[in-house]
Amino acid sequence: MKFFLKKFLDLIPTLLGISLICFFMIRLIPGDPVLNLVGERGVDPTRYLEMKKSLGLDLPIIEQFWHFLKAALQGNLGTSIVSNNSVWAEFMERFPATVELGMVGLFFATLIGIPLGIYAAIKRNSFFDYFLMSTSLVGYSMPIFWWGLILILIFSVKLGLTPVSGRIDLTFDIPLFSGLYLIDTLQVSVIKAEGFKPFWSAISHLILPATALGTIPLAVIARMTRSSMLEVLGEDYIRTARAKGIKKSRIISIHALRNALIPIVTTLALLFGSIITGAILTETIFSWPGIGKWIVQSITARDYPVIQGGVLIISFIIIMTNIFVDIIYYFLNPKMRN
Amino acid sequence: MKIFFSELYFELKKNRGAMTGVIIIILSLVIAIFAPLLAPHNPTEIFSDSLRLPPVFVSGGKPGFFFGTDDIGRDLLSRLIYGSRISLSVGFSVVVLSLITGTFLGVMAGFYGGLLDRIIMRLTDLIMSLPSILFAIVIVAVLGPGITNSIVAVSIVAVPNFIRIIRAQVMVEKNRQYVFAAKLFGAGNFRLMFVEILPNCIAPLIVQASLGFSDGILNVAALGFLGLGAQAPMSEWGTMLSDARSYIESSPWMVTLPGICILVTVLSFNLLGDGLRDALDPRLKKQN
Amino acid sequence: MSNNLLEIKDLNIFFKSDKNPDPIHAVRDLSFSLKQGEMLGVVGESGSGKSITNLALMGILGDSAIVRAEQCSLNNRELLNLKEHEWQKVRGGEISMIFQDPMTALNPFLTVEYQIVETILAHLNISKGEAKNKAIELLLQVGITSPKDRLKSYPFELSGGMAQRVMIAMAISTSPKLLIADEPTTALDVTIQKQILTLIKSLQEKNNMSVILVTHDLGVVSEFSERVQVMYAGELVETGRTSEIIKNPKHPYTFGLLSSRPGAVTRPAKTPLASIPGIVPAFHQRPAGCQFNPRCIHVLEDCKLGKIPIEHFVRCLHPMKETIV
Repeated sequence: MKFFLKKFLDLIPTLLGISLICFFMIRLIPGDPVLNLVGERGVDPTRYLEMKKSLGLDLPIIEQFWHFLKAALQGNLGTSIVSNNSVWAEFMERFPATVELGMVGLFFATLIGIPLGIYAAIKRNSFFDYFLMSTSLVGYSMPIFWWGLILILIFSVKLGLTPVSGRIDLTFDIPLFSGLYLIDTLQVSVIKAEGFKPFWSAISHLILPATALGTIPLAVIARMTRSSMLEVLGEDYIRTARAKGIKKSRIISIHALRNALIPIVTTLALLFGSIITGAILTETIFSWPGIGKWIVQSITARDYPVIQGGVLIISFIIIMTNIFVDIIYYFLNPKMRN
Repeated sequence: MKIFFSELYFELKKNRGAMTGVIIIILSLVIAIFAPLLAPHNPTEIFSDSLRLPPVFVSGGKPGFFFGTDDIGRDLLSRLIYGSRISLSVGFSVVVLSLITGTFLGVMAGFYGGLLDRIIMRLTDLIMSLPSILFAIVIVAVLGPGITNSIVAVSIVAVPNFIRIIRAQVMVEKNRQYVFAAKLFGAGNFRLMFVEILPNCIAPLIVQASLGFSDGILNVAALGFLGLGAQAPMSEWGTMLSDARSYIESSPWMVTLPGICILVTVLSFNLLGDGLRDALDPRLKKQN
Repeated sequence: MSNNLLEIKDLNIFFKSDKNPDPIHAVRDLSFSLKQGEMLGVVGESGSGKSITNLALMGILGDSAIVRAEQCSLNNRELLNLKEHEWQKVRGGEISMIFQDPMTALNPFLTVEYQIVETILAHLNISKGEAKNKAIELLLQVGITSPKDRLKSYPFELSGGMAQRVMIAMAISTSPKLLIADEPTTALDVTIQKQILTLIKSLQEKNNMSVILVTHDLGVVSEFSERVQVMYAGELVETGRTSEIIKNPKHPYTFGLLSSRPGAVTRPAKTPLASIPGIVPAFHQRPAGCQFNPRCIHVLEDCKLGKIPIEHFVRCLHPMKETIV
């Protein structure tokens, strides 16, 4: 219990720091913040003062930060200059798309990467091992913004197998339930009206971006699993298990994999951050309407409240995930429980 | 120190991957240095009669434009050759900036501990809690787009890696006998930190520097691709890719080539970094 | 056909390596046998090939090893021809092994109960509940009080001595015919060492089990086992009854081992303890002739040539005649 309490207390300075960065971001941009906010559109003097007041920019800086914090805690992250919608609403609208893309990408990376890594570790120094290690290093070095374009070039342009952009064919009208199209297209009402066509459409839209996004995690997971397995397989207790006459499959699944999983779980947590990085690039390439594309667009449009609020939410999510991983770690490793 | 490097070279020579990396790095260095001699054209020169020409070996290509031309008629090969100058110097600047800052902060944190350590570590936690590209985007959003600003942004993102590695190493080394000995001989803190301790932390630094090179190149190219890095008419590979996106159907070579250049350069530094790690990690050595 | 439990004739172990084209010859022409219920001490420095031999007997040397022997049989059953699934029945079932460091030899992420029960279930056809009861019984047998609580422990919650007792309980859980104890007390406190060895000895006598006790301490052997064999650089150099060898070591290496023990040789006060100069040669630097000749103080020219045969239980051309009092 103390462990969790300490973890959560450790959060406070990090979260405070993130809020400070987001808060000062707008104020550090050279030029007048109000003029930065309205951009090249120009503003008359009364409107200028009005805006300055409504943004709280006339108050002392400490007070401004306090107001910012209070508002953020209440979920009020300001409004977008471009759309005039609240930042929170814009985020919630796009977040499921990123979750769907990220989860599917990471899911397949894990599903394929772990067995490949295990097999390479067992067949150490074999041709397969060398092949996998070289391919995964290429995958790890992949500029995914280029890799996505190449996937489009091959599968959409040349082979015509998959659509180039978006989440689903616009001809389908899907009532939103979870925001995840892979689930929503399987609602009874949708299947009654359109059959499985919307579902396949969602999959065919998802497959390329998820591949592009999952490539680096796949490479990292395969390499990490291999080295972690190799380390564990060299441990004394594996020799003991063999000397006890335990079956090889059992040695690998019970004695080795479980212990090797701990660093793999940590890697997965670190990958969560890189999924967001990947989402920024992948979503831009595939016009995937998620938070990555949203952030990039708002930077091009100099929509500062959106950048500010978006960064705050994303970092909050990542920090929370890391805590979650620490908790899993705690349950995986009996030594931690003492 | 001399022995250290000759031993390192000996270990590296046995690693085929690392040697491949070294060869590619040397080759791209040569290309970058001798770009004016190697490039058939000026990278910004516009041939308005030769827009989006395919490479020579494809039907429709024109001799003189080996890899074809881009959307406003610039020679692609020349732009790629000059691009290696930008990418290598970008990688170098990022590594130097983040290495110096990170090493300094890491040594201070590890050596003094206490409040200073706590502050520095909180800062690294902060930077690391944000995805690298996102953080770099935020910095560029504040500083404004451009190659210099993106180098600064990517360097800041890379600093925590160096801090953590150095700090951990310094905390081990500072309790060694030789440090006490130097202290007895009256060495000041500055001397202890940077003359006595730092040279013994060099192994992980070298590995991280090599990996930092590839990360730096990749991240600056990504910023370029998002339109936040190098601006036209600079022939930075990421920016070139971003310009070429609209022509993916009609002129696929414009998309394919810059990406291959990024991939090969990044891969070569990762190969070297991996090899260095294997050569320097005593635990791995024992396993073999 | 012999009535020995274990019969080894001309065992040779090689290791393939990437660096050397020729495989490394780690163990040479090793022959020995063991009767049911007998304890055999094996003595030698690290690098003498004793641990490798044990792992070969268990069939867990790994892919880079080549094991050849004219005979290597347990109860007249040839071991080297076994298929993997047959090996699995032998390991832990007929031959069990305990290791040097019990703290690393037990899986840190599994409870004591899991690890013992798993062993029992791999070899005996009984239910999980019965296996658990058996585990409790075994822990009592090896002298662990409140065995029910200990079953729930993780290895890192045990002391070294306790962990080694758990290892022993696990090893005897399937009533093996042969127990290989590979330096079972090296990693433990001196006070615990004797307790563990006494436990092994009593279990050996009670279960009529054969034991190979590997150690680098001749003193331990002299106290616990009737018979001893001394190994050096992958070869058997001397073998015989312990009491005999302790008094009359014939091989200069055995002599050296014995006289390097405190109090072994009467010597003038304040002279340093005798020691054997040098170290065991590395696998790829083995000398010609007698393996011990570079370190031997009685070396003669003929020691440096050819292969030295084992004669009258000693592999030496010029056996020693001195006695140790």
